[in-house]
Amino acid sequence: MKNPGFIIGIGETKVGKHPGRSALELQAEAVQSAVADAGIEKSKIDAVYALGSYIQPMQLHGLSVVEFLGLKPRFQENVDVGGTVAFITMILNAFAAIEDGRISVAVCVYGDNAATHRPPGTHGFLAQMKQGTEEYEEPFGSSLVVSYALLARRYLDLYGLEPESTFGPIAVTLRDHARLNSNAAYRKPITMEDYRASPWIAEPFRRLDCSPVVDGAGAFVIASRAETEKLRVGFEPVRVLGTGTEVTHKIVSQTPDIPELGMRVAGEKAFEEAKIGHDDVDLLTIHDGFTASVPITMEALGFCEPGETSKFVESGGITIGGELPVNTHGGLMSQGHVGGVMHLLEAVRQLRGHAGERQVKNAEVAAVSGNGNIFSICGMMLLGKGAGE
Amino acid sequence: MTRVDNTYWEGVERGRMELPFCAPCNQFYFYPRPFCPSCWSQDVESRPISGEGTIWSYSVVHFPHGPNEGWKSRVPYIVALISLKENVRLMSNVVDCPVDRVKSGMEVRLVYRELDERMLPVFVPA
Repeated sequence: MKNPGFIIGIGETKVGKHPGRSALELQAEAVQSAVADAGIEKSKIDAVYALGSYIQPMQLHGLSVVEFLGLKPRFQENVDVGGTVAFITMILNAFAAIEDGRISVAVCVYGDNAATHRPPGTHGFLAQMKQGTEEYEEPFGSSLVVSYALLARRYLDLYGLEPESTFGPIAVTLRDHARLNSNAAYRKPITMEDYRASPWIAEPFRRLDCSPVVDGAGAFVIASRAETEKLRVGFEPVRVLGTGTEVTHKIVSQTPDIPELGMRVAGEKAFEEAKIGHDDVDLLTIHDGFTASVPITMEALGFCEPGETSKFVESGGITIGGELPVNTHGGLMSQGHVGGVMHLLEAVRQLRGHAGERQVKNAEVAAVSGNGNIFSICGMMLLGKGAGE
Repeated sequence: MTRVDNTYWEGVERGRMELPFCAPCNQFYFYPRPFCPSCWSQDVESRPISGEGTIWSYSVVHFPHGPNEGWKSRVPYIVALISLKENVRLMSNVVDCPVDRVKSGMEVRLVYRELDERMLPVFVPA
């Protein structure tokens, strides 16, 4: 596709625990860091696309970000999409506004303090996440984790797979990646033995199949072609090669079956738009709320044959030196769950060649994929290095 | 017009679950709303169902995260997605079934059990 703009700045807070700091404060820090990275004047920002905290939710969240940071943009929006697709959507929204000549520079941000500000006795994001149809699920002792577990079990049984050999090596590999990320919350290596000793949460998920909630925020800056040219930043901008998104359902009982998940169509659309093939992709990020997200996503996107991802993982395919490195930053599973914004930042960092020890050699194309809710909102965006044509 | 979303829980309370049926589509749908989500027709009515189904997927829950504290004392328990003979899929519990016996594809039958002072539609092995 023709890019009206580029991703020119990234920033993130420490991921871990920030007791006493609000989600808004974390988001503001990430925005300031991304704006500094882009080397752009604060006054240039004319759009803010933000995703509000799930733990301390509020209406008009984007407006809070604007005021807190003392901005005077033309547009602000709360992009409540979820699952990394929020950030794909923010980029599309910014590009459309740039193309229309309405804005030149946008900042996009998400951050939360799910680790330290959960209501007492609650777990994960559940405390505030309501589906609107609780009467058909809550009476049966379900939750977001159980919903995901149901989809994971369907996946396993459809292809005759065992949870341990299918999911365990993914947890181990992503932890191995996090070891190379100084901003990951969980860096202590784990083995298959640790995985097997990890207690069941909701079968087929053990604790080590579930991504831990953390405090942290990430932000990025998008600028029009004209603004990017003026900046002469010290590194190459990142462009969008193609995007696909697909929305199918909300609650898990209404999900399409695994082979018909929206991810398949989203992936096809992205590749078609980018006019590239799977072999051109140098690294992939997956919204890994649970280990099961990895094989389900890779197969739906066509990177692995149905039911075959575990063989690819077993052969080292998703490691940093592997055929298709996945979540080189450790992902939600081991960096911690920052809504997937770090997946986008990692893709940009890899394309810039700034990923240090975990740099994927000659990274030219990154695929950022995501799923909001329970594979309800699926999307993939293919990113390329440099300004292109 | 009878509201199909009201008759669902009323039927469960009486031990006779009904599901909304769309006349133009000639099919059931779930969950209840006052029109068919497929064709948007309001020519819908609640109809009794067979109560027969199979397990589409399941999870044995050991560590409940849900808002209902009562589940903490009931572990391990089975949450399942049931494909009803009427070609709709819904969430429920599988009861009277050891947790190591539950399997996808297992045939199940609808029963009604009181839980937390209300009747719930749950399933037992057929």
